[in-house]
Formats: sequence, structure tokens, C-alpha cells
Amino acid sequence: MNGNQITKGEIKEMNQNLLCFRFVFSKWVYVLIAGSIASIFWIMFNIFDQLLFFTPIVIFYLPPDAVIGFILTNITSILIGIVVSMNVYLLRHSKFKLSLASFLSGSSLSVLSSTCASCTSLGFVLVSTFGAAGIAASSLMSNYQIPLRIISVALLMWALYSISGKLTSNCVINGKSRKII
Amino acid sequence: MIGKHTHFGILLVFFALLSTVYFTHVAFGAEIEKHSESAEEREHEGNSNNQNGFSAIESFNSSNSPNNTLTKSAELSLLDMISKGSPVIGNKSAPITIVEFGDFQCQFCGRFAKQTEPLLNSTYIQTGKVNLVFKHFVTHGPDSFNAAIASQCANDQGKFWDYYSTLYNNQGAENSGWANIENLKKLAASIFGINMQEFNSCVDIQKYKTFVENDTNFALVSGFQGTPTFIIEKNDGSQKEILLGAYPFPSFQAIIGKKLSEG
Repeated sequence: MNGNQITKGEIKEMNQNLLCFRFVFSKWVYVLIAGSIASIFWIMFNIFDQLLFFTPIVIFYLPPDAVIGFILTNITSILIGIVVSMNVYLLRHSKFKLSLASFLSGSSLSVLSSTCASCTSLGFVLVSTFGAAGIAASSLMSNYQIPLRIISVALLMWALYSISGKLTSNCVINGKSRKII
Repeated sequence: MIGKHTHFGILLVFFALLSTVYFTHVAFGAEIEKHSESAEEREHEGNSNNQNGFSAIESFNSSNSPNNTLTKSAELSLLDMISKGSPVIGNKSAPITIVEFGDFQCQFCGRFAKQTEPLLNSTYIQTGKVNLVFKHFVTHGPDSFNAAIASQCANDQGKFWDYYSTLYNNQGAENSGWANIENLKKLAASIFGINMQEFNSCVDIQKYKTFVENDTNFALVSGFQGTPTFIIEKNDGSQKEILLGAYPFPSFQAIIGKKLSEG
């Protein structure tokens, strides 16, 4: 068989992943969890990026230098919301362990990369505590912010794939899980 | 249905995330801190420190930080800052003064310089309502220290604000070498009318080393924890309000408008 062709098994797996995704988000409570988590992270990322301010007036602004980062943080926030919501579903409906490793690494990396470390108190702490190593660390986070965010999106995609896989296996193994509880 | 434990778990996650948002918001200074005239005065340690402005941060013990309380309000009055050599743009008798504590390698300072400062300039500075003072808060490494000294050398020739724009418009990645001494001299050479011999000599002998150290130490003992930090005050140094971060123009507009209407 040609390597470029998608096999029937792969199509079946994709359909099953999609089915489980629809299972989870057919319940309003999981949509609510995903939306809330995504919103909280969106606010947090935009405060870190100095795009969202609450005082003296509430204002959001998007300067040209921040557009790429803003797009990436939007993707990250949405992915975090979905992954958390699916983890809650898995916790509630499955005997499988949570898919936390990839989620935590992805979300923490995105939070870290969202801060201009050396412009803030975090940089101040790094420099005053670790000296030259602190400068290197804060410069790394500032200079490689976009690549770090891309890595965090990739990790979250992996977390999403992993949790979908777990839910799918659960659907296959345990027939009654096909019901939406 | 979702069980009791799951409800509890969800609530816990929400609480944790809300706490994170709150604390990051506070830590990153997105709040304005108002400093009243009666704020406790602290001893200013700046002049006694012989270290360069950058290593001062490395050795600065954050437990000494006076919690964002400004030291002596008189030290930030416009006349005092001018007499000590801080660069100023705008009408010296303008009712409001904005003091920027910045670092030439800081990306958010660059954002302010490119996005907000031009609007402040055309709306308030050129109309004589506000003047802007720059003070150095070197936080990003040794190249920042050199850039701060070089900018003061440009100020000697009345070219600080040209150099300010040139540096921010040519800003590169932090500590990548774009602000090394050689490049600082090249960037200065692009400014019309600057005497390069005088500038180079000033940079080479580090004429403003102590000046930059003092500015940085002042920011440290004032408890500022990041760049850019802005103090918006009446030109006699009273009614201070502090902004930490690259706030957009409408935020400045709100504070300046309020101060102007108060008279």
C-alpha cells in the first residue's frame, strides 16, 4: 500500500477520536469548563504580554510587535481549555489515569514564555538571585518567546491527542461509555 | 451527572487559576499605585554605592526593598532632575511631568517608545501640557549599562531624544550584541549633527557611569521591579502616580486628563 494513503484503520481512529470529542462537548458543563479555563488563561497571557490593562481604565491593545504572540496565546488558551475539560471528563468517566504530563508541560511552558522575564519582577528575581545565569535565563525566555510558544502549542496538541486516544480506547473497551452520562 | 468530588475539583481548579491571575496581576504591577505626600520617607542609598548600575541589581537584596514607597519626593521634582542632568523633553513649566525609568534593551520600553511616546509627544508634550524625563533603570545586562552611558553622552550634545529613538528603532534581541560599545557608536554616527569625537571620548571614559548607577539605585530603593516604570506627577514632584508596564496611550490620557482637570 502507498505510504501516503490514509488507511481505513486510521480513518476509523480519526472518527473515533472525533466521536469521543463530541461525546465530551455534547454536555454543556464541559463546554463551560473549557470556556472558563480558556478565558482565564487568555486574561493571564494578555496581562503578561502587557496587552490587557485594568487600571486606570480597562483597555486591550494590540501593537504590531505583539500580533504573532497574541495569535499563539489564543491557540494555547483554547487548547488548555479543551485539554482540561477532557481531563475532567476522563477523571469522571474512566478508570484510566489523567493525561497530565503533556498538559502541564505545555501549559507551564506557555505561561513562562508569555512573560518578558527580564522586564518584570521575575527577571529582577532571576538576576538578583542567580546573577549571570539569571541574565542568561531571562534573555533566553525573552529572545526565544515565539519558538517556546510554538513548542507549548505542540505539547498541548500532543496532550490533546493523548487524551483523545485514552477516551477512544475507553469507548472501544467499555461499550457502556459510548453513552453520554 | 457529575459527582461531589468532581464539583469540588472543578471549584479548586477555578480558585487556583483565579488566585494565579490575581497574584500575577499584582506582581506584574498592572495596578496603579498612588503615592501620597505623606508617604514614609526612606533613606536614599544611591550615592554610596560604587558598583555599576547593573551589578547593583545583582547584589540588591529584595528584602531591602521599601515596598514601592518612593524615597524623597523632592528628588523627583523636575528642577532637581534637570539640574542633575536627566534628559527632558517638552516645556519645562508644563503642569505635569512624566518620569520614565527605562532600559534600552527592554522590549516593552521599546514598545512604549514606538507606540505610546509619539502620541504623548504630539498630544501633550508639543502642546506644553506635559514634559517627559528619562531616568535609567539598567536591568538587562552590561550592554544596557553601556547604552545608558552612551545616551547620556548624546544628551551632552542635546541629542538624547534622537538617540533614544535611534536605539529603540534599532533594538535587537537582548544581550545579542546589538548594544555593544562599537554598535552604540555606529548608531550615534547616524544622528545628524552629533560630534562623534566628543561622543566617543565620553563613552570610552564612561563619563556617566556614576550618574547611571545613581539612577538605577534610586529605582531600586524606590522598589521599582521592572521596566518601563512611569511616574506621573505635578511638576513640583507632588501627586505621584506610578505605572509599571508599557501602558497604551489611553491609560496615560486618563491620568493626565484627571490631573489637568484638578488643576
